[in-house]
Amino acid sequence: MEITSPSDLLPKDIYRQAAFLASKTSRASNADWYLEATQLKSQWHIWYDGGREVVSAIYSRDANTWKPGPVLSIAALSAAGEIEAELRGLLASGQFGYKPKSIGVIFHVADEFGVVDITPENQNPEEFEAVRRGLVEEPVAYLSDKKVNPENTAWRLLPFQDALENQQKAVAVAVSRERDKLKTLLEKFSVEHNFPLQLTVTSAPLEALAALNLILPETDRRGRLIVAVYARFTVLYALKPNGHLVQARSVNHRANSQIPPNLGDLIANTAMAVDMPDAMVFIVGASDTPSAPLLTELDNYSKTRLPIRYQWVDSRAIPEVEGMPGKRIEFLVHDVTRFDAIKKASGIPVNELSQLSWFLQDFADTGDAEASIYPTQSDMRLVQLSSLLSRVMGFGLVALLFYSLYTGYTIMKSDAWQLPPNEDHASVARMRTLLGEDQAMKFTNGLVYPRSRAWLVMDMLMNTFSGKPGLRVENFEYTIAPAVKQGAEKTAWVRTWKIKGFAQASASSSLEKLNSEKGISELFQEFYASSGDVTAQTAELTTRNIEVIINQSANAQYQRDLDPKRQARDSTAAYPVTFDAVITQYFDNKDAMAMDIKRPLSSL
Amino acid sequence: MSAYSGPIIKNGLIFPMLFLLMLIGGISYGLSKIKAEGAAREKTYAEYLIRVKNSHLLEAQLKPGRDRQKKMVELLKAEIKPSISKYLGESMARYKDKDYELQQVSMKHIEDRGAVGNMVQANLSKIQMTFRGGYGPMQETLFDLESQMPQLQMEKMVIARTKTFGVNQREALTFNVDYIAWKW
Repeated sequence: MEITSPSDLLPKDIYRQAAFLASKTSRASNADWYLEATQLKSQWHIWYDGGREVVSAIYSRDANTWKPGPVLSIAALSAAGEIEAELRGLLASGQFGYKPKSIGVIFHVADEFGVVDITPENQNPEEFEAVRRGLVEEPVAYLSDKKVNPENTAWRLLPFQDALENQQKAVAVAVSRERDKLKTLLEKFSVEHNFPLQLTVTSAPLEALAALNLILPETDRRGRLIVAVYARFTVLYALKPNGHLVQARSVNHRANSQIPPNLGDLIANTAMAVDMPDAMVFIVGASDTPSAPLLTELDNYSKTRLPIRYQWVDSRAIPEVEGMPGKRIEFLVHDVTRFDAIKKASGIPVNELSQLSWFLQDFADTGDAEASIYPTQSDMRLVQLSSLLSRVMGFGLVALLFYSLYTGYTIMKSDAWQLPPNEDHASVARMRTLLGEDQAMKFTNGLVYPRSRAWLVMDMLMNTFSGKPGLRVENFEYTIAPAVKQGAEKTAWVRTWKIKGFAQASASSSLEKLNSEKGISELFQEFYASSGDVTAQTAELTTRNIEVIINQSANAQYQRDLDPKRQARDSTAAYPVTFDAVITQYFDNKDAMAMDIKRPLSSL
Repeated sequence: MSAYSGPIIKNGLIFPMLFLLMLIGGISYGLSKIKAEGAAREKTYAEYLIRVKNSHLLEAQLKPGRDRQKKMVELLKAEIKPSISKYLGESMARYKDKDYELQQVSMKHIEDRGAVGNMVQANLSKIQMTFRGGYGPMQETLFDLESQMPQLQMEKMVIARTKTFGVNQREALTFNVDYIAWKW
């Protein structure tokens, strides 16, 4: 699948391309695709100063070991086929001692170093972070020279931490973009072999400054000038006693010359410009001794103009570079262990060390990440998350589908589901019929319940009053009436007996005996026991209550010695006592006597 | 956010999730409908089983009483006054030509439903009867009547002595009896 810029694709095709890259390449699984070359475990360092030598070294970051890298000719740096062949060889040869999963290529540019001015309005140290980004993304706007061509050159900000009041606070370091071809080549190789290859282009003089500033012996209050002599140019750095950079200058060598013209003037003028006339001068080069032209120049200048105190520093003789291929001091800043030890030994506070990042900027960074045709690591994680979520939810969907099918099958196979509706309806109708029949029977039973039978009422009267010796009943009245209770579904009942009559003295005491709830209840209970009249039962029933009032008084017509004729004609005169009894029996609506108030079924 | 982020979020996360959620929602909805229908049918089936069981129990309970119920219904549907007259006639035949033992003085239908009738909704008739005679014959007669017509509920009875009765001036009793006759 050919990878197309997302700006030329529809959103769905962008996603399809990202999904393709996530599934068919290692971009989702190998985080090295998104790291800088200097952060990778396996690094290939290439140093070139424009002379006859190309220094090539491989560095295993984890093992912290340096080895000579593939031998590169000068021509190989611009010939794609050779670099590709060397890369293949590097992967196949096992030079790292293990199979690398990525390689960071760090190109140390030692054949050019330009210092250009940035506009006065961008000299505010507080805005240097924005200026740094600006020089990467839109350099012309920040440079004093507006005729420059960003297609050919890359610029990086170099701040002067302790610049004097009236001097520049920063300059821009310029490096040509010749390595863009190498970058394109590496990207192509990377894609073709699904193998992360990252390129970082650094400025060798700046790397050297980062290392030398920490390594060189401390000076007194005079400060120091570091003169780094390369094959094609010389860089001069002015640093305060505290190590802060205040000036940087670069002068190209003339053809066939190993030193810049008027080096003595350059050193003296720079020292004067930064107000450090007595500064210690360290001249750094990759040889045991200074070259003859250099010695001649400095000696002549000291004799004829101003004496220059200088110290020659052979960068290859620095103990910290021992064991590094080519003994390049520029490699030192990438050696995690050695450079950490140097930083620690320098005694410089950690916050000051952060300034070193200005010397290690990547000149290959176009800052145009948004325009990249490849997705970021976050994008790949999103694709992976999408894939994972889709799988989880897809699995959940399938599981739910099977669960639903199984559940549905189980439910539909149950007896409950199979029950024909007409059978259920028939059972309802049948039950309704039976309940109606039951209610009809109960209703009928309620109607014919023997709650008030005349012959039993008469029987009770005979057994209690009329039939008792010494008692004569004159009037008897019996009623049964419903008792109203609001909201009740059944009737309560009240039965009343009113009995008037006469009594002999002997019977009067038995009447007194009846004149109590206990007495009358016992009388009713006895009648229930003898007759079976369920309405007379009083014992063991809480739904019934009975009251009695019997008033006795002297019979005004009573004649003690009544002749037999009169007795036959008017027997009431033979009784000395009259009585008036009222018996009231209550049945509440929970008693068996109770009757439904409503007709239970309309169809009855 | 790169140029890929938006399309990935939209096409790789939001759309598939929405689609899957819709499917899951649809299936869940269908499942919930089947479960709800299943639960409803289970409930119906459980009720059906209980109903069938109770029907059998109720059937067994009702079966012995059906003949009696049939008779009772016939009884309750019968005309009251002719029935009373019929049964009184049969019972009082034993006192024929013995007026002093028991004599029916009157029998009339009362239109007012009275206190009972106003309270309950059951159909009823009210009959008021007056007899004159002895206590025993009256009790026997009413026993016969109430045995034949269990739907009769005596609402009121008044018994008073009558001093002159018959040729021999014998003492007799007057019975005023009010009946409620429950009807179908």
